[in-house]
Formats: sequence, structure tokens, C-alpha cells
Amino acid sequence: MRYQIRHTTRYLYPETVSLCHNRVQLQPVERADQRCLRFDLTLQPEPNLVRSYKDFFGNWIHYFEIHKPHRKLEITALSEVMRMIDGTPTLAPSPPWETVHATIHRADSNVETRRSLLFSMPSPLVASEPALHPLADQVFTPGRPLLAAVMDLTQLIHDSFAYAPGATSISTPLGQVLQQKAGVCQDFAHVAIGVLRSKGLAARYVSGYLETQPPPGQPKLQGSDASHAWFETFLPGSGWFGFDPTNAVQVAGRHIVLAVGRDYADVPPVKGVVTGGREHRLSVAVDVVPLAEELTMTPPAFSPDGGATFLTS
Amino acid sequence: MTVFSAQVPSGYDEAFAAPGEPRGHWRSFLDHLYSGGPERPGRLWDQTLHLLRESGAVYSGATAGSTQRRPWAFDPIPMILHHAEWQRLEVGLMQRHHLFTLLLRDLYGIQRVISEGIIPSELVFGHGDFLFPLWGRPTRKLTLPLYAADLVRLADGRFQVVSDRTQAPSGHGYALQNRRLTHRLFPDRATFGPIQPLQPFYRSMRTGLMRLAPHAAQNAHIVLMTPGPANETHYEHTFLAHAMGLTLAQGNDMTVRGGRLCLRTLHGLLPVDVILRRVDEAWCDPLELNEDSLLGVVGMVQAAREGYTAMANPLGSGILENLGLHPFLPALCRFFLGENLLLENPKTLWLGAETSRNQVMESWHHDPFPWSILPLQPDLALPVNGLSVDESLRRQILENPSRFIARPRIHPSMIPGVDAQGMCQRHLLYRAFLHHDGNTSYVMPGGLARVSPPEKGRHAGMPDHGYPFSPRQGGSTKDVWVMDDRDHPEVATPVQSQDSIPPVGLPSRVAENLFWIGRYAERSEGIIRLFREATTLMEEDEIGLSREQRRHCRHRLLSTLTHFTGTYPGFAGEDARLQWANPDQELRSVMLDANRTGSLAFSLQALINGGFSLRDRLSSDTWLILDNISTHLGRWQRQRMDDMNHLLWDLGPLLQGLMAFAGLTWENMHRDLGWMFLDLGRRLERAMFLAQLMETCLGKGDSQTNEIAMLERLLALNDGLESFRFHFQTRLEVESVLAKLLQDDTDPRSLVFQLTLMERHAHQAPRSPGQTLYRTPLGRTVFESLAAIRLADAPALAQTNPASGQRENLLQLTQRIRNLLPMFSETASDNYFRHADATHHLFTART
Repeated sequence: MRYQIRHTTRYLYPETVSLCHNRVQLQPVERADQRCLRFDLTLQPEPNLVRSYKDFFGNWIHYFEIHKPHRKLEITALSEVMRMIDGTPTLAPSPPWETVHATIHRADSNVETRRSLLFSMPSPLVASEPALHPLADQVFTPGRPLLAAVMDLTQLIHDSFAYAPGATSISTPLGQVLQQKAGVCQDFAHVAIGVLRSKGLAARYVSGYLETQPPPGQPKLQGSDASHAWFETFLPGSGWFGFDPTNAVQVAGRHIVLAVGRDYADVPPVKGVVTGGREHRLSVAVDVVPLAEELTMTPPAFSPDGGATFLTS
Repeated sequence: MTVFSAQVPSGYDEAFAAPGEPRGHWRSFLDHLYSGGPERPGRLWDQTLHLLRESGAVYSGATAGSTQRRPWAFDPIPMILHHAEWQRLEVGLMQRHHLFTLLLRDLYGIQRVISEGIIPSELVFGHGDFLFPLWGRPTRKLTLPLYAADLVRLADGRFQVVSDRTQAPSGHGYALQNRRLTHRLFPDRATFGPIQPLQPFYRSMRTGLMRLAPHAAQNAHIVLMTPGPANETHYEHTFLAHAMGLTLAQGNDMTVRGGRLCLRTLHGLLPVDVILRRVDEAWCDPLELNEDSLLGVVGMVQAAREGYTAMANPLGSGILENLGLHPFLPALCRFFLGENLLLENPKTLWLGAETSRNQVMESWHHDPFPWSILPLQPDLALPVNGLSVDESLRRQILENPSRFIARPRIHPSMIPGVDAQGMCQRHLLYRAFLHHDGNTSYVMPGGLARVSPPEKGRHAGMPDHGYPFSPRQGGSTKDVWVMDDRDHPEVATPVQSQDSIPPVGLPSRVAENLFWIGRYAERSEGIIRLFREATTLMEEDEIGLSREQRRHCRHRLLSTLTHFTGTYPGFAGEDARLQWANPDQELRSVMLDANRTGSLAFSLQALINGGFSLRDRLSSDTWLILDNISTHLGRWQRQRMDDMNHLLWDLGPLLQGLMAFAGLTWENMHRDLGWMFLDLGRRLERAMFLAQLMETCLGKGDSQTNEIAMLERLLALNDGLESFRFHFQTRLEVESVLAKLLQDDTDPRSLVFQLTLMERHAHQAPRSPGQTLYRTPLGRTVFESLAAIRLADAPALAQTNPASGQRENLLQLTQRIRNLLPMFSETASDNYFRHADATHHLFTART
């Protein structure tokens, strides 16, 4: 599947902002199941400095500064992405989770497996939390194949947690999410990651988009899509498998990956510190538009800055 | 002599090879100490306390509402290290430093140590001290400009490293401070043998820091980044900045523009070439590191990526302090250097490894428990032998074993010392320092010795003895002498020209602090003068005035006090009459209550805290005066004051202190922009004082006898009574007194005198090119005030309106001045002190 994604983030300030420093992770990563054919980042007002680099996890980061006084900041990311997987995947057979655990933690495992170990450790937003254990014991029954157990977990979170925008904020700790059994996709991904890590398994956070379909018979509304989050778990020898607890599905072609990290803190799409402004009003619009399978344009050659071009208006 | 010997034969004694048998390199020093007779230790201790007070050295932060500061803990008996021993340490420290540099490059680069299984990845990634945003910098040039190690000496005389300081090594300032103290305490030290001087190390450290500057070969701008005066080692930062000629700056004195770290100065943004970082790395950048930090600079991580600013030490170097690395250091040393580790650690077990964990947990109930348990991140407040071993620790370990290490309990060596009770024995922890200039490493021939509280009649090595060294737990410090026992003549060190110190703009925060120091000093003086005058007037017959005259003057002065301090309603409210009749309670509060904004205690405290935060900019004499004021204030506040006369008596030293402060800043401070802002603050405050005084005391006419008494008191209040009589030789008239106090250019306490100086200062204040003084808000305000005063006609000012009984011309003038002057203060703030606007974080939507 091929998609065009337009992701606009707009901040309005009641007072003048004299200076801002930002880092955005809005450029979709390239990986085995995904190609990024085009990426344009448009910033308004015009930045005084833009830098692009790849972070530890292989994601693209764009850092910029705006020195000019402004009352409005608009960040528009336009990308074209090819997803190499299609349809509804079937759950691949996998060894029992205990075997996977043993493989990951073996001292003589291969480099990729050893690298996955990092994702079995606590991270800033997903610390070890006793309340995770009951959930973990419910799905990680003895001898259960890893992927089957993780699918059970995905379903379990979907069924027992309420999707409730506004119920949590960025600073809501995992423990409270577990207690109130409500949250949004970031929280559900964190819960799943926490459960997997409590069993010594590797799990990572994925920030991205999901193509949504309008209710039957209705046209799709502009800006009705949203950024999304889910998680992946590692199966030695096979790689990472994605699961979306918000929708109780295994990740497929309609999930578009922006960036991966240990948790949300590694991959916030937009992050910044502004000087002045007093406060801000935020509006976000995301459009994920499926394109015809054939390429309408030749993908640009790979360039050191990730093929990104910076437009300012 | 046996009193000096070690009490425990098993531990190493630094000074004695056997009871009564001093080691060679200690002999001449100990001979000197004994030759002073039995009073010598007591005298030495008294001298030490005196010097410490004089130096103003402290180990504590400034806290709001308190001027109490913990003096620096110092034991005058030095640690003496044999030169040959020090050379062995030097080699070992250089090797460790080299090893850590290579490890740092590897961890923030290709991570071979993890992919090849030399160290477990959990040690790196599992404990929050690997800074992911710092990964991926070009690592080839990554260095550790500063390194320090905490060492203990074992029973067999070998040193071992108990912890490494790599992220923001501290103690350089205190080590230098200690050396200055021993220089004063032992003026005849040359007779002990050649003590290696420290000065060359600090000089080369400064040159080394300059060399790190990536883009400025000469005159690199070096900034010492401090968390600020609330930090307990802030004194050290100010001392070091002063001694090494560095600009001291806090995070909000700096900003990142175009990926480049800059200092906000009165002259605009000045690029910073090198940062000597004393802020812990996690707190350095609220954008990419700890979001809650108020100590950092937004974008500092990006500045690290860009590489315009060298950081000593680089962000990310904290991970090398992880104690869990200790078991792997020998292997790492072979891996990177192909060598054996020369300077070892105590045998350490990382409890994240199952076999190690089992070994430790199996002996948990042994008595004595042979292990000390420590968290991975070294904690300076923790005793050498770590956490107290109890059930809660056991549970923590079982829950999170990989967060802990275990090592055999350590019994540090003994060293003689002195405290208030005389000679004593203490345990020793030695911090050695190294700096690296990009090519070469230099080890300080000395260091910072930290010692435990004295062992008094107890035997060392008691089972539960953890050996605390922190000053909070009674620990102290010593100078470290590296000395030969061979006798050779002292080699004079050649006089080297000082490194040229580049001109550096005045940080805006510093200018603002100086401005306020000037204002608070002057305000305190004004309050004391008013109080003194008003209180004197309560006494009968003291100054030959009638009861009615005294009553009149007292009321006017008390009202002025309220207006000037802004402590309303006070003596200016509706029940003023009541308060005038019984002023004691209100007066006490206006003077002593530090929690009351505007009170004398409040102003003095603001002055002292301001001075403390600018310790690096004040001479030690100036600081001493502030410190004395602080001591007096503390004593004064602790006393119960029922008698106004007592209060008056005790004000004497405070007023003298303030005048000494005024004298020193006038006589001894460089006439730079900093001084200018300080004096600007002082002049502004004095001008406000005069305008208020004239307005409240003379604004309303009164009987002639009352007015004459008032005029006399006004002159006395401004030290002008005698000179007035001398110069004018007339009787007191409102007109001539107004002319003197408002318009006399030769009277340093007149209003016109203050405004003239302010105009001169405003001339010097930086302004944009092409802008004239009278186009700047600052220039315009001061010019307008000055013109108004100069053009005023004294006889007209003195006239009262028969209908209202008020001197309307005078009131108009003083009110105009009192409106203009605060604007002067505000324009100064807007133009020069706008250093740190409030910031907030941007996030994205949650879906």
C-alpha cells in the first residue's frame, strides 16, 4: 500500500514567543516492511537553523530554532510511504515464550538479539510496576507460544481498558493507568510493553499513523486521521512483530511507522521549549490518503539527510 | 609520641611505620608540630578557625530566609604523600583516564564492548545513565578533559580506587582553598622539605581548557557553569572562577542560538568556547534531557552535537561512574589497551550477575556481614561502606538486583588530625585530580584529602562503621602535600606570564544582582538612619528639643520610614496616631522581621544573598564585611529585644558594616560595568530616600519652632548639620536646607549629586550603535529628573499654600522624581536585565 500523509501541528500563543527550540520526529523510518518515498517538512515562521540526524534507534530527528518573534508556529510534514505488507496477517507460529526469554538472555546470542535486550529493560515511562504482574500471568501461561500470548495480551488490554481521551496526560504514570483502566493509545502501548518486560521479554514503542475508513456511505473528512501508537515484540531469528492494543489487531499494511523507541519519551512527534508566549493552544490535523499502487513519481535517491527537503513559506 | 600512632595494627597508618616511628616523609613536619609544645594543636585549631572565617569558605547553599552557612570543614594537618608513591599513582590514574576515554568513545559510538560481550548491556542501558540523545556524535575527538578518582589505602599500603569522577569532577576549588590555608598556617613549611606547588597544575588546566576550544585558538571564552547559589558547592564554583579567571554563569545566563552556546551579556550574546560544567548532565537541557530542569540551557545537547563549544566534561560521561563497571575494568583494560589495570578497584561484584548475587545473598545472615552494598550510581553522601544492611535493603536487592554492587568492607588508612579537642585520628579518602588537554594528561601533585569524623577512644573497624566522609556527617578535609624525603634545595619556579584573560561581557544576571546589591545596601542604610533618628527623639532632653518638637519630628520620621520601606499601613495608615504613641512593636517588626518585605532584616538578607551569589566578583575583604553583617544580623535576630535602646546600640556595628561596604566598593572595585550597575542601584535608592524624606517631612508646613527642629534633624540624618552651620552660618530656614539637600552639587548626600552620578553611569551603559544617550529610556529618565531638580527654585519650593498648608511646589517636584526614578529602574531592567523569560514545553496531541 502506498500512502500520502500530511501531518500539520499548529501552536497559537496569546503572547509573543521570542525564541523556540524544537525537535520533531515526523519523518517515517525506512525498514524492511516500509519505504519512505518522499518527505517534506514545512515550517512557519522560517527557522534560523535546521539540523537532521538519525538517533540511536535509527529514527530521523529534525532539530530547528526560530529566533524571530512570533505568535503562531506551524509544522507541516508531508510524506509518501510504501508499506510492503498487505491485508490481515495471520499469526506466525512461534516458540513458547519461555524459550524466547532464554534465547534473548543467553550470553552468546547474535548481535541483533543482544541488541533487543535493551528493550527488555525499564525505560523512563515504563518502569517496573507490580500491578503489571497479574496481567502478565494471565496471558503468559506456561508453554504458550510467544506471539499467541502477545495477541492475547493485545486483546486483553483492548477489552479491559476504556479508550478515553483526556483520561490521562503525558505525565500520568503507568501505575495510575493500570488502576483507572482507561487511557489512550500511548497508554495502551505502554501497558503492553510493561507486561512484556515484566516477563523479561523485549518490547518497543512505535509511533505512527493508522489509515482510518469513514463510516459506510460517508465521505472521509479532512484531517480526521490522527497520529497513533502501538508496540512491537521481538522474536529471535524472525525480528519484530507489531500489535495494536487500541484496535485489538496485529499490525498490518494500514499502520504506517514513524519512529520506534523504548517508550513515548524516545519518539514524541513534536517536542519543543518556547520562550515567552505564556501558554499555547494546539491543533493537529492528520490526513492519511491511500494512493494508487503505481508510482506517480520516482522516489528520490537516498541522501544523507534522508531525502528531506525543507520548505518554508 | 605514642598518642599519634595508629590504634589498630591491621590498618595502614599514613604517618607512622610503627608506634613512635614516623615515616620518612612525615618526620620533619611532625618534628615541627611537636616542637611547638603541648599548646600547639590548640593554637593551630584556633588559627584555622580564624582563617576559615576570614576566607569566607563555606560548604552550603543559600537558602531563602536564612543567612546561616556551614563553614568549610578543614583539618590543618596535611596528608603527606611520598613523591615516589605519588608517581606510581600518577601512572595508574593516567591509565584509568585513558581507558575511560576509550570506553566513552565506544559507548557513544559503535559499542563494541556490548556487541563483543565485554560488558553486559544492562549495565549501560538499564539504569538511566546512558544519555541516548548524546549517541552518534563524532566520537574520535571525544575526550575527558577532567578526571578525578577517590582512593583508599589498604593495610599493605596500596591504593585502590573506590569511585571515579568523570561527569563533573569537583573539588579543584576546595583543594586550592586548602593549599592557601596551609600556606598561611605553616609559613615556615619550606623547612619540612620541598612541597610540590599546585599553581602549575591550575595554570596548565586553564591552558588545557583553552586548547579544547574547537574554533578559537587564542582567548577562548571559558564559562564555569554552576547550578547557582542554592547548590552547596557554590562557594567552590565562585572560588575557582575567581582563581582561574573564568566567567561564572548559571544555565539561564546562557542560550543556544544557531546550535551555538552563548552567554547573555550586557553587550549581547557572546559565544562560549568552553564550558567547565558543574551541573549534572541530566539537568543540562530541558529540551532533550530532564524536562523539569531549571538549571540547564535549552538546546545544550544540540550545541554538543554541533561541536562549537567544548564541554569539560562532555555530556554523557556520567555513565563511566557506574560502579557496576568495576568488575569489568580489568577486562576492558586488556580489551582497549592490551595492558593490565595498574590502579585497581576493591574486588567488586555486580549483583545483576546471578552467581555474584547468590554469593552475596548466601552470606546475608553472617555476622559480621562481609560485604558492603552500594547502588550503581555513586552517592557522595554515602559512607565508603555503603548502605546500611537491613531487611529493606535485602528486599530491594531481590527486587532489583542489577541496581547494586557488593564489595568487601573497606578499612581506610589512619591519619593524624586536629580538631577542637586537640590531636585526633581520622580515616582517609584521597581524591586525586587529572586534566587532559587533548594530547597530554597532567595529574595534580596534591589533591583533596577527605577524612572521617575523629576516632575518639574507639577502635577503628568496628562492625557497623561505614566510614562517612561527607562534611554533613562530621567529615573534614585536608590539604595534600607531595613531598620528597630527600634533601634537595628548593627550585624556584620560573615566573610565567599569566594567560591573557579575554575581555568578557558582563552577564546580565550579574549586572542585575549588582544593581540590587547597591539598592539593598543603600536601603538598609537609609532604614537604619531613619530608625536611629526617630529613636533618639524618644529620649528626653538628649538633643535640647522640647517635647512638642520631638513629637513632631518623630511622627514625620516614622511616617517616612513606612513610606520608604513600603511596610504599609505602619505609621502612615489610619491609626497612625496610635502607632506614633506606641511605636515599639511596629518598629521591631520593621527592623527585625525578615519575613516582612521591606524590613531591614529583609533588605540585609537580600544584600547578603546577592553578595553570596556573586562571590567571584567581590574581593575577599568585601565579602568579609558582608559576612560580618550577616553574623551581626543573625545575632541581632536571635536576641529578644524589649528595649528600643538595646536595638539602637546593636545597630551600630550594622551601620558601620554597611558604610565599610560602601567605602570598599567605592575605593577598591574596578570601575567596570559591574561597578557601574552597583553604584547606579545605590544612587537610585538614595535619591528615592531623599525625595521621600523631603516630601513627608516638609511637604506640610508646621509651626516655626517645629520646622526648625525638623530641619535640624533632616540635616543630622544626612550628616550635614555641621557642614551646614559652617557653610551657611545662618539660622535654619526651609529654603536653604532644601537648597542644600536637593541642589548642592558639593554635598555627596544631596539629590542632585545622586542624579549627576546616575547620568554619568547612564552614559557608560551599553547601547546600540548610533543611539545617543538621550534617545535611550535610561538616559531620558535620568536627564528629566536632573533637569527638574536643577531648575527648581528653592524659595518657591519653600512656600506653603495658605489654604492647604502644603508646600505644593515641593510636593509636585518630589512626586515627579518619585515617579520618574522607578521608571529608571524599570527601563534598566527592560534594557539590560532581560535574561530569562519564562519558558514552557510544547507537546503533541494524545490520541
